[in-house]
Amino acid sequence: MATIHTFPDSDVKLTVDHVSAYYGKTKAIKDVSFQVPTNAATAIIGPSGCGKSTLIRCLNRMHEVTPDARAEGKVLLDGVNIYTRDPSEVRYRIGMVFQKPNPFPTMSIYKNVCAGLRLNGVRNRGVLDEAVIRALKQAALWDEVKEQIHRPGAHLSGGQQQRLCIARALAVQPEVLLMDEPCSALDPIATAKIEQLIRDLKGQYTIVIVTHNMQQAARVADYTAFMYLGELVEFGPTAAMFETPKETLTEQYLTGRFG
Amino acid sequence: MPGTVSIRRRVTDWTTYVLCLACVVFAIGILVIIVSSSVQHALPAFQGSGVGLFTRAEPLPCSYAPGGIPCNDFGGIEPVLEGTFYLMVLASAIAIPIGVLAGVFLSEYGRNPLGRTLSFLVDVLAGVPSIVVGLFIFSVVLWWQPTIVYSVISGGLALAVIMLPVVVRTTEESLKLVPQSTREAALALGIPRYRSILQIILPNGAGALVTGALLAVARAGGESAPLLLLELQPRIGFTGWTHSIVPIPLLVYLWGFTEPNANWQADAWAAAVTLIGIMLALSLCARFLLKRRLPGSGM
Amino acid sequence: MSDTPEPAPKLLTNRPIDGEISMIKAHLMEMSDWSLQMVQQGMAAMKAADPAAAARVVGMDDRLDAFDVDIEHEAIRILIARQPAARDARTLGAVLKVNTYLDRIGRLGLDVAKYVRDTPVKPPLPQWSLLEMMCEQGCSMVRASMSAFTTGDVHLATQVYDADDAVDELNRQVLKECIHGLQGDPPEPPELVIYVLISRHLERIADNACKIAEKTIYMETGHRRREFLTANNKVAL
Repeated sequence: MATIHTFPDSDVKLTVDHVSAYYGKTKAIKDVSFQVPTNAATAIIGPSGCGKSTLIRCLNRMHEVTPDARAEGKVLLDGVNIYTRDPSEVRYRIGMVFQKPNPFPTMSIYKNVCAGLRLNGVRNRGVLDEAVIRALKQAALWDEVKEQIHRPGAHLSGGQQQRLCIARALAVQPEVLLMDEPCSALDPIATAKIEQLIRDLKGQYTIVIVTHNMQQAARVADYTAFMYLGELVEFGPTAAMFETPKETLTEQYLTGRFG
Repeated sequence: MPGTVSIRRRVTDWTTYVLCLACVVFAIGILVIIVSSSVQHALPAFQGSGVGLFTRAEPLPCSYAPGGIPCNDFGGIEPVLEGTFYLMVLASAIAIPIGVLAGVFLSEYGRNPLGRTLSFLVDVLAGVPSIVVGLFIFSVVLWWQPTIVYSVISGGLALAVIMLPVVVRTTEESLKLVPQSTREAALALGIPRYRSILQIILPNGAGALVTGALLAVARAGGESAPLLLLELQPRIGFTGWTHSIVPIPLLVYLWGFTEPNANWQADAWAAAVTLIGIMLALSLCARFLLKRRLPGSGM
Repeated sequence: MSDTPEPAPKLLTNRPIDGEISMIKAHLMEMSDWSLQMVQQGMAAMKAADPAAAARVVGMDDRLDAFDVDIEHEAIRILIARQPAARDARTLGAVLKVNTYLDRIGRLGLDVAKYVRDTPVKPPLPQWSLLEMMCEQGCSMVRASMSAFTTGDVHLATQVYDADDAVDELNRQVLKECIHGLQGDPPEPPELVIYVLISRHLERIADNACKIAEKTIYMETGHRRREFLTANNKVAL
């Protein structure tokens, strides 16, 4: 039986309601339910294969992009089930940053950042300019690239590319930002910058971050969900959970006993 | 004895190297021979007509010309340039849009058993002999609109069918080279799928795509077999879409093989050289684009 | 609910940090033995009013200090290297605190020895027997709480707490008897006052033993003593 912390309704941004996810016949996520609080950072941790990446991809309907993949259950964004809405609309409001930075290679930094707006019909140059500057500032990248925003983004370092992807996601002003192991491919300094960014952003955005690094969860997340073999074992405030976990499995994972 | 072993190895190394080099030289040598002998045979025509080779119509031997009318023993190949041009334009206009969209489908929506089967069938189409394609178009047009069996339209259709698998294949392959992470990034921004294909994925693979199109055009430009069937009432130059026309390869056949007049034979050689020149130009264009301008070309 | 019971994970029983924690707990045990020796030898020196013995106790301070510093270094090193969480983290936090408590215990013994130099009481006055009882009980509480700490025995830790009352009572008794003695007929020598101070020190030793017990409970359960007792339907005093 899992230990799941709950919130008063006014504090909840996303509600995961009995979600199960399949790849073909394999059940990767088994009946997971929990709430994601507004304007806070929530981490999802667990050993390899526990379903954390699958879970976060269910939160913006990216899971169904994989061939032969499907999901059951409901994910409520402000009370409305995203599985009943148009997927593009959902993904506009719930942005995602991936493990390996993936800026559009053929586009300049400017075009990359405003891609989400431009390709959804925004044409006004003034609006796009303003959005690009704002997003790059929010992603703590503006100072480093302001001289070269019309040059391609390919020659940026790994950490800068990832911040570019974050700026691109922020430009459309989503309500929720999902991050799937955003620092896995980065060196420690770049990682530290992104962790600082998360701490700065979480006052404005609801952030969900998947990480295989427990200490990262301890550093950036207010709440943490621990998953094992597709099930949600424990969910609660990070500090308390890491100091005194309530479930034995959580204790075993946190103390590195999983062999 | 280490000494003897190493000598044996070195001899083998050297022999292999020389052998491979010889094969390369052989292959290039053939090209050199073709080009040089063509140029050699075409020289009289270039010398005789000069630039006019490319602007004038069929030669009018002075022995046949009524008095007063300007005559020239070599004449020009301008009509066949027109022929190649119109056929290429029509074939491209049909094959490239259809081929690109088909390639898009196979790459973006066809990553499943059905898609793989369709892709395989496209490969089969590429292997169909061009004369059979010509015969097929002949019979279809005959059934549909017999009057235009020998026309630019039917020739263009045949060449389009030949170009199609090339365009489909190169489009599909170049789009498949676009990493899945790019597609996911586009989708995750809430961009509708069709938009992401048109404005992010296609531009990403544009380089290889254009190269593929150019190579398809080059391929079709050199086809002669189907046109033998479909242009049996040759006219001089372009007289209408529903009328027959003679492209360069056909001229090479008609005047190179069956025409006794030595001057006209030289003209045919000149046409062959021109065709080789056009192929070369298209290939260089493709390489140029690959290296410099368009992204996503894998260089 | 899952359809099939999830397989239990294969657990590591021999993590590197396990060995390190065992070792650091063993060092704390050594430190506690040394501290208690300082207490007992200090008391013996006081009873015999032997300045040489007292000087020996003062000489023991260096080693006590070394224990303090070394164990602290060891704990910090483990924290940096292993970045522990949950029980391991609580354990290392507890180790650092217990380190301080044992240092205080040793120092209390040292203070008793120092009184020998300035205020020897020879022969010991009748109230000394109370002090001896307090010392015995305090030392056994320290031993028990350290044993509980090393083995993680929460039950034993709660028992240590229960023994504290007796020591408090003895402390009050000493004060009463000393006041009584000074006002007596004939009055005891004024050096008796020193017994009141010693009594306080011994009471503090028992206190520190309770703190070690409290840390043991926290280390094992994550709860403070009060929460633990209420959670186990016991009454917190």
